Amino acid sequence: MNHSRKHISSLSATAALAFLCVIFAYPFVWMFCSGFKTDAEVFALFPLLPQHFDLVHYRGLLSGAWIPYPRLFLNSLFIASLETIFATAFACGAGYVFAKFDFRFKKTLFILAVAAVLVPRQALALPLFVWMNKLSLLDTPWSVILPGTASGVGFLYFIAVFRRLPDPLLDMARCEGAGEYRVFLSTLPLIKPALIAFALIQFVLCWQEHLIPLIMLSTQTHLTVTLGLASLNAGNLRVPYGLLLAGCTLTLIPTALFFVLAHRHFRSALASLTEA
Amino acid sequence: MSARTKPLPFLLMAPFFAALFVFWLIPVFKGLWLSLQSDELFGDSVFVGLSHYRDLMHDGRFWHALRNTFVYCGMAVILIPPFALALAHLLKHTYRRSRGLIQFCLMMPGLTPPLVLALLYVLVFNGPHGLLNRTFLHPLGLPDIDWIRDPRFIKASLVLLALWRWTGFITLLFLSGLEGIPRSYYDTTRAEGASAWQLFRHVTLPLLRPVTAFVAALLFLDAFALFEGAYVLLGGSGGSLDAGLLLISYSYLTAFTLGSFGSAAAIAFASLPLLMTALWFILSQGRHRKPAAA
Amino acid sequence: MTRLTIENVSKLYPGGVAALKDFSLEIEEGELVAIVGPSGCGKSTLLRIIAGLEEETSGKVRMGERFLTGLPPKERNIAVVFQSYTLMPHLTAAENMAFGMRLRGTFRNQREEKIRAIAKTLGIEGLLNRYPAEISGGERQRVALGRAILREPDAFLFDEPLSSLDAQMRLQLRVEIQKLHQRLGTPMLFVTHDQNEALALGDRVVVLNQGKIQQIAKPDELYLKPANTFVASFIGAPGMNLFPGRLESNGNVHRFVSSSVTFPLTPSQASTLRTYSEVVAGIRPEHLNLSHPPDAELRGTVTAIEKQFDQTCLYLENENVVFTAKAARNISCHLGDVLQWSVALDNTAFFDAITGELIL
Repeated sequence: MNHSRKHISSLSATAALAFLCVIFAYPFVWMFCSGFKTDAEVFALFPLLPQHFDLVHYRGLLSGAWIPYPRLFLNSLFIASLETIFATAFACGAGYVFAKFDFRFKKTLFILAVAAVLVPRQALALPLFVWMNKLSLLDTPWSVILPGTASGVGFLYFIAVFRRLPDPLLDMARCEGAGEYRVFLSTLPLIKPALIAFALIQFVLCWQEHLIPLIMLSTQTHLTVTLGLASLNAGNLRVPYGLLLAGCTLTLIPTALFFVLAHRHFRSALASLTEA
Repeated sequence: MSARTKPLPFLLMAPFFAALFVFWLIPVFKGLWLSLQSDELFGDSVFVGLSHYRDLMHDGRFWHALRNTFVYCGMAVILIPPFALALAHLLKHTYRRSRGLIQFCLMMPGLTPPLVLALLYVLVFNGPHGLLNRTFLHPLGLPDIDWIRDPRFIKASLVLLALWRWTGFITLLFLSGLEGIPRSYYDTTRAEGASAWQLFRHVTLPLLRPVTAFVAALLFLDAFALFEGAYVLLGGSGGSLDAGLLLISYSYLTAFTLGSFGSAAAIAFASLPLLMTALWFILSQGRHRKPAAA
Repeated sequence: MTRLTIENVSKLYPGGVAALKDFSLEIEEGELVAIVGPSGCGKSTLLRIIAGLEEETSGKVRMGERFLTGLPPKERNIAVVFQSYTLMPHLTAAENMAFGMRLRGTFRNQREEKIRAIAKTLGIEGLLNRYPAEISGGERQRVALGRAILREPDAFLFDEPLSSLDAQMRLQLRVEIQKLHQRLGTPMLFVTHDQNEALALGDRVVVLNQGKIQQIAKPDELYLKPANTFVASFIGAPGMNLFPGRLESNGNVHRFVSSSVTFPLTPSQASTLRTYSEVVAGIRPEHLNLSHPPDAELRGTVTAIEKQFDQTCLYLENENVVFTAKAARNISCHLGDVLQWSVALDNTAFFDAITGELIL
């Protein structure tokens, strides 16, 4: 009796979510299929699946006939990877120090970092533009990477992560002959899931960033892939929808791949994310 | 700690604070300074004091954008978390084997650049063939709605977009939070004769408080910083009757379309105190009565 | 081999709280000194100062002729075994034991040989490939102990290493530490809040309270001649009974008089006590003997009875003075009974009521 009731509740919950999943995921399926279709087919309701998997749009995209797509894709990868590595490393180091040491001005610096959480980068886009112009970094990847390297949220997150690391472990390492630098390094394997999870989220956010690159980058070959897609969409180029959607499909690959690969770490670290 | 370990803390935190200083603090002051300058960008701008802020007070579009932004932020914060929490509960009851796929489907929009998401929204959900009209309006015999040109529905579109994007991520956050609540809390409360609703009301909700506050702050912040969605949906303008004009887009328009940098900076900075207060309020709600479990 | 010397070490925390006041101690080669005291007495602070994890406000720590003050932990060559949480969860037992050696660059084959040898003496050779989460608390502490031994340190410090173990494990590991102590000739310092542990392990025992040394003595002496009233009531389970009172002399008859107990004193005791107006008599619970009215010097109403395997511990009360006594295991008495006791005079200690110091 109890067993079958549980069965029914599982079944109905799964069914409800499956319905929602269809709504959520349908556009992506449509997008994927449309990459192989002509404009006329794209907006026809049926069939959803393309008649034949015609790679003409992908070829057109990758050949760079409309925009230098492969180049832009690599730009995006470069920017997002570097921003992620820097942001994670910086936040991790500072978080460690704040969780395990006391020093003067700690509180002041902490408040500064919290204020950085409360003032989003997007609100500073304008002065950042002027500042990057002064530093002669405009239209380089660095003008997009550098403003993202100090992640206030990451800082708070790593403080929480390192706080949960027992102090005796660090003391032990010290007594066993590790210098302070080695002590820090020896803690890193212990927080590996947190590092992966944070880097993952950071990468997804960097990959998605639009406003900052839009302001900073101007030369066509320097753009990020989302900017490229926006220009395909906005211009009067009469770009086939299939090609545009093929371009969209490809932008999903890195983030979706990371999510699938690091799914477990991601889940385990999400729980600790909110404690910051 | 002791003096001999000092160089290390300094070195380890130096990069973070150097970056914070150069790419956050300096821009903040630069922005403030900019907002006190006349509008010429690279030429000879002159100090104009608070006149940009004074102009803003009489600028109908600014007030409009401010209201839009906060209405939009508020709607996102009020609608999305309860929806995601309900999904998290459902997800807990699904068959174990189906969970991975469900989570992936729900996460999909979150992993997608908002620009692509907005494009898909335009192409799939909107228009006479759009899913929204076809599934919700046609069966009821109602006329089509143009979800991105009709000023009455632009904000709803933006909220739907945010919902689509964030639901998966926030559901996972809530799910992690739910799984982190020790069973013993439920057992003791159930032993006192609590109903399912009472369990939810008196155990789940209070213990999820920090998660909820975090989620709300995240949504608020993201909604405030929203740009891509509005940019794609509305072609960078405020949409018809400015119904979708948000602060960040207004600032962008003022700076890069009209070339008025001083005014644009003033727009951003005039709204910051409100944003910070709102966020601070949301986050402080989570800290308050922080449960031992977290 | 060398001795570990601690000279006039003080530790002040910001805000003026003194964790340690003028602490001096010399631990000889091959000696194990136990430090015992209530929580917050400064014993862990002392250990952390010796290890170099915290800096002393003043004073010096020496290893033989080598001054350790100012050196970082890694240059001190002192091994510490902590209470818990000191095994890296992502490393196996063997890798954990190799942790320090790897930092010092010992060769891999040498490492493995040494680890196997030490593991064998500690009885953990079967666990070397397991992770900390897969072994018991006692086994974890053995691994930590092994890691400390592998360092071949100049001195061992133990920071309550047995406190988080269950009773049986605690006894087993206590024996292990004793064996280790006999085998290695290095100075050892053992910090604990458990006096049984301190008495069982320590060649000498330091009693610490509020950052100050109360007494440094051999276990016996600590028990029979506590230096002051704090040590008297802290050492022993239950602690010494303390009766504040005074000396009364009537010709050649000398008596100790208090509100609850009165007993005769020898002339020599009396002559020493004469100079103090107020004294405190300290009597161990086991030095009170059941007795009958003519000889009885102390009466008490039984308020609680605690049966132990080898004896019975009685909690008694007399006119708001509470004291404890020990009796035979098979004594038959009930709550509310009034029992009569006599005092074993030889084993009675007297303290100055004002300073709390031992008089005789």
